[in-house]
Amino acid sequence: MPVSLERARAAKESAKALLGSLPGLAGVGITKLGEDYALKVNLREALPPGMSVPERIDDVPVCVEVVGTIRKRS
Amino acid sequence: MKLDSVRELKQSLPVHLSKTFAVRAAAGRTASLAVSRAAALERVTPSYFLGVSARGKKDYRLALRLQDRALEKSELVEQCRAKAKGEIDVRYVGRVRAAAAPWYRSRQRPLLIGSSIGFLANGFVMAGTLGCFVRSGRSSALYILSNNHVLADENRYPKRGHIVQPGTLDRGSPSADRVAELTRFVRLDPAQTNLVDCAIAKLNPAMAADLHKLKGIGTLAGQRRTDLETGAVVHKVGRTTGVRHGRVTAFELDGVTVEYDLGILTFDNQIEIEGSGQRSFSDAGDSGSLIVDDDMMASALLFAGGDHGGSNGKGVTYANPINAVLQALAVTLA
Repeated sequence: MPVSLERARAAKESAKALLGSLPGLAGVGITKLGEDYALKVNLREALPPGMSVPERIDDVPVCVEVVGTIRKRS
Repeated sequence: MKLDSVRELKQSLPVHLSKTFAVRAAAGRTASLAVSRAAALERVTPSYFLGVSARGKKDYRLALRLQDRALEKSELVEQCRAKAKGEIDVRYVGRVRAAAAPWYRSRQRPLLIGSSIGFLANGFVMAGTLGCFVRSGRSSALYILSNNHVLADENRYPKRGHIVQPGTLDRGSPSADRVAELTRFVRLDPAQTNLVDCAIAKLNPAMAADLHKLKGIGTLAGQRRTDLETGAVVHKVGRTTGVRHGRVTAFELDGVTVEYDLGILTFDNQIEIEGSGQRSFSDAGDSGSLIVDDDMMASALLFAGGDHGGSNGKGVTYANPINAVLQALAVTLA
């Protein structure tokens, strides 16, 4: 069964609690992987060796991306 | 003429034909003009330049390019023609200028969505983007919508502070280009989670505005009522990168950390966008751009971005959902 938006939203709250103290966390949101909703975890830089983000949270897939430093656009 | 001969001829000419000659020749035709105009003529020197022009394979001529019409029948041309024994290609090319600034970095009257705008800063110049036009309450008065950091200098600009178009970074005049006054903004708070970066400025009386045109994209059709979801195609026109197209890569993003002068601010419920093709969706100066969906419905307000990430590696852009922006400022699209 595809992951619904509601499940992804619930998993996002779990992810925020789980990853809140992750160094360089730059955002947790919702994206799509094919038909499935998924979590998007943004990082300012790659995690130190030995640290990683789970591939699934509450059985919702997780996409991790390094987005660098985000600045106001002016 | 052989190439070497033309080169030799070209090298020999500037010695005999000084810039002063050209200026005098140009001024000669305009003797009746006021002194100020003559002074202006002097500023445009040199009024001609020399080069090599190819007529066919291994057949070359001296190229003389004139920047002033007054030189076309002048002694200068005749001297060059004689020296080249008729093997000369004379053309009027006018003034050669650096590429003009694009429209979105220039003065626009009526005011246009996507053009350069900003506050008057002390000791530095700046520019952001005019997002769109809105109304407040039942009044017919028009307001410019953009970011707090574009119109209100991150909470620091005084109420009724002047807004100029173009922004001072684009040579907007602090006096002659005043178009609006800061009315209100949603405070940016380094100590709490933020939802929007937005402000409005009331248009000065008699300031004309093209309310719905997104030059290069289309006509604004209204306000999107549902939030953008992943995969949605979006467009914007902004002060730095002009028209760009993109795709939503994530939504309902919480904990987005953004660097401001105030410090690092955190935003919830944001939209993430990547640029189409091999381009970014935005760059510095595009802040305040209105983002529309494929149906030309106002969908989001651009405010932040970075240089990393996105499937093309050109970085991602962040925007506030337009519904949250309009609600927070208690305004409606004009």
